[in-house]
Amino acid sequence: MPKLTSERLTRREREILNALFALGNRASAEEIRARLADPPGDSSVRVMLARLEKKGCLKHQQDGLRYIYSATTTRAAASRKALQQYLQTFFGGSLKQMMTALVADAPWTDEELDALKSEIDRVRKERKKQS
Amino acid sequence: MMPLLRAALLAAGGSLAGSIVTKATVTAALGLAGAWLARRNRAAVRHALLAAVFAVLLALPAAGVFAPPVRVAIAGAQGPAASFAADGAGVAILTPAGAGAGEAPASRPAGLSWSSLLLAAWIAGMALCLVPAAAGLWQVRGLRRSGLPWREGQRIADGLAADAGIAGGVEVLLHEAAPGPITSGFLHPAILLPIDAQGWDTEDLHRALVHELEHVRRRDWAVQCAARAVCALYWFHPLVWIAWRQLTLEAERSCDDAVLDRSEATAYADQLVGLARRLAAGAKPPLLAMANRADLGTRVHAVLDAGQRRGPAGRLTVALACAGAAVLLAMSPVQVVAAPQAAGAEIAVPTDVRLRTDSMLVVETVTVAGANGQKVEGLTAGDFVVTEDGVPQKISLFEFQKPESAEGGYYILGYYARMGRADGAFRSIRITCAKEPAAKLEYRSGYYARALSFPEPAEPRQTVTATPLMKPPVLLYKKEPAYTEKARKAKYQGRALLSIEIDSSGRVTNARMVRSLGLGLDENAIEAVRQWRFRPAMKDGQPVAVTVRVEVNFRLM
Repeated sequence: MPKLTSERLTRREREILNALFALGNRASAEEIRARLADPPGDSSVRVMLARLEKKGCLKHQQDGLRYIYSATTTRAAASRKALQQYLQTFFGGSLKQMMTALVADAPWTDEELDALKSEIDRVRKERKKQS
Repeated sequence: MMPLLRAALLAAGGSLAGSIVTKATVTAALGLAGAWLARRNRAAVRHALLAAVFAVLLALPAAGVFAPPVRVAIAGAQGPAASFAADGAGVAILTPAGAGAGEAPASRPAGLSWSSLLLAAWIAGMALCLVPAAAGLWQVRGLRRSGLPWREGQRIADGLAADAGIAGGVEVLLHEAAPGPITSGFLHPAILLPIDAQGWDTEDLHRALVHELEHVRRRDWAVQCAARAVCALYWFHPLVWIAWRQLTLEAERSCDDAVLDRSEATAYADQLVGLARRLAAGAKPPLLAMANRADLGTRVHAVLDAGQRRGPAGRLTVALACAGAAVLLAMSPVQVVAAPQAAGAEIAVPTDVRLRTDSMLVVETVTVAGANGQKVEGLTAGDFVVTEDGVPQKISLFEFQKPESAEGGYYILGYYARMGRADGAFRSIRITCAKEPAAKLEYRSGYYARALSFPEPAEPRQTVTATPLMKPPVLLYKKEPAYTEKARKAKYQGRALLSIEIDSSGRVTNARMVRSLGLGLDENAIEAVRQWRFRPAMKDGQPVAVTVRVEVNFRLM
C-alpha cells in the first residue's frame, strides 16, 4: 500500500508528486522536471524519482526508451490523508493562533452550515429580484 | 455604594500588580465597549481600536514598573486633596498609606508569602500560555519550509499584491496540510494554500488571495502574534481573551470587506461556508470552544449585510485610537491609595503578635557559663526569668545562637516595655536562669528607658498653614524603608513619625524622628525618606520650602 504520508517526503519529493498529479498521473521524468519550480538537473530528478519509487509512492512503466511514472495513489486520497493527519496540528494545536486563516476552526455541524447556506441562497434570490 | 467602591479601589490600587490588573480591566472593558458601540462601523475601525487596547495592555506593566507612581489618595469626605490634611496644629501630616506594608522584600518573613505564591502562579500561567504559542510559531516555520512553490498562483498573487499596494514580495506556497488559505510571516509574508487550490475556480482563488493579501497589507499577523503575547501576560484575565477573540474576528472581517470590494457577496459567503464544510468534514467535532463557531456566522451575515459600512480605517480613526491609548498610558502611573484618615486601608497582620505602636523592645544578649566556665547550651525561653525593676517580664523574643566562634554560644532575650514609661529613668534588669542556678550569666544589667526627645504631639517648629493660597507638597516618589533583621525577628511593627523639610525643588533636605521605633528602624526610615521626592509646596504660585510630618509604617506581612 502507498506510504505517502507515513514516510516523510522531502519538499522536492512532494513537489514531484504534485507535478505528477497535475500531469494526469502519467508523465516522464523530463515532463515532471519541466513543471518544477527552479528545476534541478535531469539526473537529480531521476534520483529523486527512483527514491520515491523505493518509498512506494511511485511506480513506472516502460514506454519504449522512456520510463513513464505514475503515483500509486490518487491525489484525492493522498490529500485527504495528509489533511487529516495535519488537521490535528492545525486545529487541535496552537498553530491556528499563530497565523491568520481564511476560515479558521472547524467545530461546525452540518445543520449550522446548512442554515448559513440557505441564508446565502435567500439573499441571492432577493438580490436577483431587485436587479 | 461609595464605601464599597472605595474599598474596591483601595484593594485594587494598593499594590503594583493590583493596580495593573485594575487598569487592564478598565482598558479591555473600554475597548470592548467601544467595539460594541462601533458595531455598525467598519470592521477596520474596531480592529484599530482593539489593537490600541492591546498596545496599552502591553505597555501597562512597563509603565507601572518604570514610571514613578503618582498616588491619588481617596477618602470618603475629604476628596483627593486629603493626602495633605492640615491637622489642628496646622502641621501637615503626609501619610503614605501602606508604607512599609511588606513591600520591601527584605521585610518579608522567611517562607512563602502570598505575593511570592501569586508571582509564581502568574509566571507558571504565562509559561503555559507561551509554550503553545512558541510551538505554533515553530510549526508555521516548518510548514513554510515544506510548502511547495506554485508558479501560477505566485503570478496571480503578484498581480493582486501590486493592485493592493503591497511593497515587497508575498510568497505563495501550496501545502497538503493546509486546510484552507493561511497567511503568516511579517518581514517575509507567505500565503499557504491547500494543494487542491490548483484546481480552484479562478474567482475563488482570486477572492482567497485578496483576503490573504489584505492580511499582509494590514500586517495582521504581527498584530495577532503580539496580541497573543499580551494574552499570555494576562492569562488570568477573561476580558483580555475576549478582546483577543474579537480582535482576530475583526481582522478577518476587515479582510472580508476588502474582498467584497471586488467580488459578489453571496459567492464569497458561499466560498466561506464551503471551506468551513471542508474543515468540518475533516475534523473531529468538538475540537475547540463552542463559542468559536459563532464567528463564521457573524462573518457570513456581515458579508451578506448590504447596510454594513466597509473599507479600511481612516487616518483619523487610527490617530484617535493612538491618542486614546496614549491618554490611558499617561494615566497609568496613577495609583489609588487611601488617604491618611482611611484606617480601613490597614492590612490585617497575619502574625499573632499584635503590638501597640508605643511598645519598645528591650533586647538583651546573655551568655551563660557553667560552674567550670563552659558555655551552657540548649536552654529555652522558659528557663530564663527577666525582671525589670523587680517586675517579671514576658519574654517575647528568644533565640539561642550556636557557638560558631570561640566566644559564641549566647542567648538573645527580648521583651516589650511600654513606651508610656519612657521617662528617661534608669531601669534595672535582672536575668536569672532557673534551670542552671549555678551558672554565671553575663548581660547588660540595665538601661535608660528612652525618653522622647520632645513631647508628643510636638509643637511644630515651623508652622505651615494650609491656606487656599498654599498648595501642599505632593508625594511623587516613595522608597519603602527596609526592615532590620532584629525588628523582623522580633515581629516588631509600628509607625515612626518623622518631621521632614522639603525644599523648593521637592527634595527632602532634613529628616528627624518625632516618634521613634528603635531597633534600627528609625535609621532606615530616615534613609528612605531622604530619597523621597515631592512636587514642592506652592505659595502664591512659587515653590516654597516647608516642613511636614510623615508617618512611616513598619508592618510585616
